[in-house]
Amino acid sequence: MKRALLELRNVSQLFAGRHRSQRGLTQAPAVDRVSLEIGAGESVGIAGESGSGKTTLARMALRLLPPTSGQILFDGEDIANASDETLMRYRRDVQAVFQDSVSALNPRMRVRDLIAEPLIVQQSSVGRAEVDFRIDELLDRVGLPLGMRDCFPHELSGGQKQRVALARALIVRPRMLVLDEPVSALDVSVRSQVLNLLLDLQEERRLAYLMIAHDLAILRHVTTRVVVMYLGRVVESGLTEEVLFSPQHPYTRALVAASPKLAVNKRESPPLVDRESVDAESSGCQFAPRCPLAARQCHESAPELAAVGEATDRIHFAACHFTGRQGI
Amino acid sequence: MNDSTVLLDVRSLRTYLHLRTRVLRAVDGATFSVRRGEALGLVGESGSGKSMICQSIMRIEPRPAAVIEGGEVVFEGEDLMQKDLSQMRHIRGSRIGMIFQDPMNSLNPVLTIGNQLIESLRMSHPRESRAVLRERAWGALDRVGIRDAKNRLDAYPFEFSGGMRQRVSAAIAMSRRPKLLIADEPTTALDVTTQARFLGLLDELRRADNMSLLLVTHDLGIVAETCDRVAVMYAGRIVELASVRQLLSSPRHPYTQSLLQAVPHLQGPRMRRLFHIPGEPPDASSRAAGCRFAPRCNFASEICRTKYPPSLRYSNGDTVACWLHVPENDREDGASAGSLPARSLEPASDTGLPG
Repeated sequence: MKRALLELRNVSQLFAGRHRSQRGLTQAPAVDRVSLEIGAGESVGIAGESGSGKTTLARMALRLLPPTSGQILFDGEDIANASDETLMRYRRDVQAVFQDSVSALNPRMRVRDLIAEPLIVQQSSVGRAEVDFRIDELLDRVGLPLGMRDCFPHELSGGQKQRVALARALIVRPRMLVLDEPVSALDVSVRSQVLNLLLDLQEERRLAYLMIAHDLAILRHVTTRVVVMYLGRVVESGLTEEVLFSPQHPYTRALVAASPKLAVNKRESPPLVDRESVDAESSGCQFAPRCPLAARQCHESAPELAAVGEATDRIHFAACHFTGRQGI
Repeated sequence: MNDSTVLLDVRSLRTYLHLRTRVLRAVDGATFSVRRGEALGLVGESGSGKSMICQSIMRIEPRPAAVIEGGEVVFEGEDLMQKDLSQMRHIRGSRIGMIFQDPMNSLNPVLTIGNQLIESLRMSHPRESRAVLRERAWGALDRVGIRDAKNRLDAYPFEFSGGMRQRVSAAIAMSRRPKLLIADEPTTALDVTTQARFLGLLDELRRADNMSLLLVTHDLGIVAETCDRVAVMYAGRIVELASVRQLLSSPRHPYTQSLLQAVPHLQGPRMRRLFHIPGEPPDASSRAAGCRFAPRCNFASEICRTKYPPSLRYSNGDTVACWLHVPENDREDGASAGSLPARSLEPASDTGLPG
């Protein structure tokens, strides 16, 4: 197998308690030994409820947060413990677009400066003419009128702001984008425009995407592989179509079942029970308290990620004692 | 349609926001009705006026900027627009309940939820003893599926998770058995699994009380799973109203058609490109004549840009406001915006639209 562009190896993130009373207590890690590979030009999605660790994982992939343990390799190079120089290069290669473009864009900067800023920070030697050229090129590419160069963020609509955020990410010609809920703040009609743009850009520039979205339909549309997280752990991963159409983990099944569908038929399965508070001491499966299939072994030992199905397609993994056992 | 089946009838409602420099036509002639016992979805993009409609019905529009400029809101035979605010106070909560998107903002953070429930119940039972009301509050909380309800009465809102908080607001809203519950994006802040459970609960309680539900959302998927009929809003007006089945299988308005095609699906074949609605949602301060969707519509013709289409009424109560559905030779008869009387048509089996 060819080398991945970005590889996370067993990364974990443990946040220290904020209050004195919490210090020293055993805490459940926000992200617990997650491994993930993204090839050049590939798009991988992360799904899961709030609190599943999706965003923490993305922040580690961006190296905004050094992992508590584990390795991050980009192009084979260690990023988790990299020098400032390497990190600088990494920040050019990997750019981010966040959900809330209002807080991502400095309200006192004009669109042209917002877009130019990453380039100027990264390559101070670039001439003004080149910067201007790239700004115009990008404005055009993300579908903003050139006349918008001098606007301030508050003059733009939500969709336009997200396009500026995208242009800003692209100006340094990255190889990968981390997209954290990039369209969830947008209205349906604008959302489809931005999703199409993301797909086109990926094709043109052979960008790799790490995309977080709580909306499975959006992940299905953009990504080829998907990782489902629950309480900091990967519970299932595989080709997006496969995971969504034949989910192996009961949690994935519940997520798919709970997602609103544009069809008149009512929900087929009873929704999940509430999440209990996290028991860091538990040695069993984290999902067991909510799982309709949970048996005694589930409360006693945590299942490891294991390949689903035949050896020929060792790409679909699930962490469930019942994986592969049909008829349940 | 028999009038006795209608619980709430909103007719040509207009609510404008008077800002310092301009006037936003937030609700600009909205007409729809909610039948007894039904769940009606009100969908639209942000800024389409759906929340402002709800606030206007309850007369809690953000005054003084928001002014109800005209229209009627007939609830059980009475026009709420003619009520003064003290009369409205007796309707709010007791006959029309409401829940909002963010229960953290609608619940009082410094009162226990028991006290908040009792406060609401007290409005209906001014002379009842506190012990009796507390008993009822317990029942109301238990009914929305909060475990250990008796002890949880003494808990504060921050002690509940998001989904549980929304259940508490539902308990308060439904404790006085209103005829109509208005829910404004009640699950937008919730995870899908929590959302599914909350919507299921709402459905169950609604059926048990034979209550009507006006569910405001931007998510057509939620409407498909919880509602009987759906009203689609665009730029302050209802552009289409139909049963969920009709709307999903053969939407009549080009905007509805585009919306349905623009949503990525979890079922069926995966489309490489989504349908793309060109342009941006309209500017609510614009006073442009003609259909507000015309600049983004693939089927727009001359008349669409000059005259607002009349709202056509089908015999089953469905409505659509689009010139494509007005026969060519009827378009002449002085069909100035909105003045054409609602006409009775047979429900169309398909849209008859190209594409």
